[in-house]
Amino acid sequence: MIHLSIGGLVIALEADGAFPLEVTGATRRFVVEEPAAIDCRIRARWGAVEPAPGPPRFDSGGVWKVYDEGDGLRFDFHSATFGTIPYKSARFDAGFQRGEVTFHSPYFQPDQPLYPLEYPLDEILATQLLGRTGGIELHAAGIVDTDGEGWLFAAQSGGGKTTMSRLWLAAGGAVLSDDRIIVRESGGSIRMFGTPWHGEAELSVASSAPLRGIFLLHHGSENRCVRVVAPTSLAELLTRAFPPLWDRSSVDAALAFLDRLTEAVPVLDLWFHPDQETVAFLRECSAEVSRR
Amino acid sequence: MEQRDETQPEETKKQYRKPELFRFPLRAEEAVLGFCKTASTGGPNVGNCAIPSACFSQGS
Repeated sequence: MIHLSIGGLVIALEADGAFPLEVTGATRRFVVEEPAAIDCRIRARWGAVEPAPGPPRFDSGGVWKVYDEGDGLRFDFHSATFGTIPYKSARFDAGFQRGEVTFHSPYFQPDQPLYPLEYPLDEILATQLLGRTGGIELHAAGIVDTDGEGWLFAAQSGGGKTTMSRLWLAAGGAVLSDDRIIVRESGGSIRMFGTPWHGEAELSVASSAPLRGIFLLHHGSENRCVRVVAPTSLAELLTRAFPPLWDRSSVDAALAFLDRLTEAVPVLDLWFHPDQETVAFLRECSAEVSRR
Repeated sequence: MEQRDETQPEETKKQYRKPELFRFPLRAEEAVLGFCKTASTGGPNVGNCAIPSACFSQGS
């Protein structure tokens, strides 16, 4: 059995028989020894995936769809490379405490190493678990400055997260991820967690830090930061988050969490021009935020 | 039967503000984790495209 800890969410992975289970890439950094508590237990297996009998609850418009199945959910993953039958199907109970991932065996070599939670299932599972345990995944780079304080730089794709990450690395900061960060309440405060889901710079660390502030990135000709107040800050973060939109109670939980987050942590618009002045400017901006 | 006093002094009443509607841009294809990062869509980088998977495509 393999245990992963991502954002404080603990997932146990095991496989039937000779299934070639392997954890790949940056996710290897998130493997842990047997933990005290497990949020979700997953078994991977070969099988013959049958198409789902009815219409989906939600269609991503991309590689996956989700169906109601009993009290739980079934996620089917398609790729044009293979054909019309899902290459992978994942079933979970209503509480997402147990799951089973079936790979359609005709599509694969029997000894081909496979990671059952390969994207996007890993993130889908994380968002579902966060909807039940509290927290949210943000489209953001997570930076830990040399004083140990954490700052998020949130943006949609192309918004400058990896560029900002590289600037901070050069200035002695640490990058928990240059693309996806999990934010949760822990011990009465807000913490940000690195994830294996990185951007172009492939920056990913299995660590966490206290979250002191959030910057909403914008491209600009000069560096400028402006405080954003609620409820605008909540709405802006929602467009840079990954709530499970097909699960109403999880969306409610995500909104409630974002409400608490924006009350507890300052959010600022940041227009930046990436140069040698950017980090120094941000440290001044951060110091101003911390004084308030 | 006692009733709650529904009247309020004028000075404690909140001033009426007409509701305003604001739009915030959302990239649906990113938000629903449906796609991998390509030149035209957003998504996380998937380093290993040799294994057939959601992110396998010729030239990715």
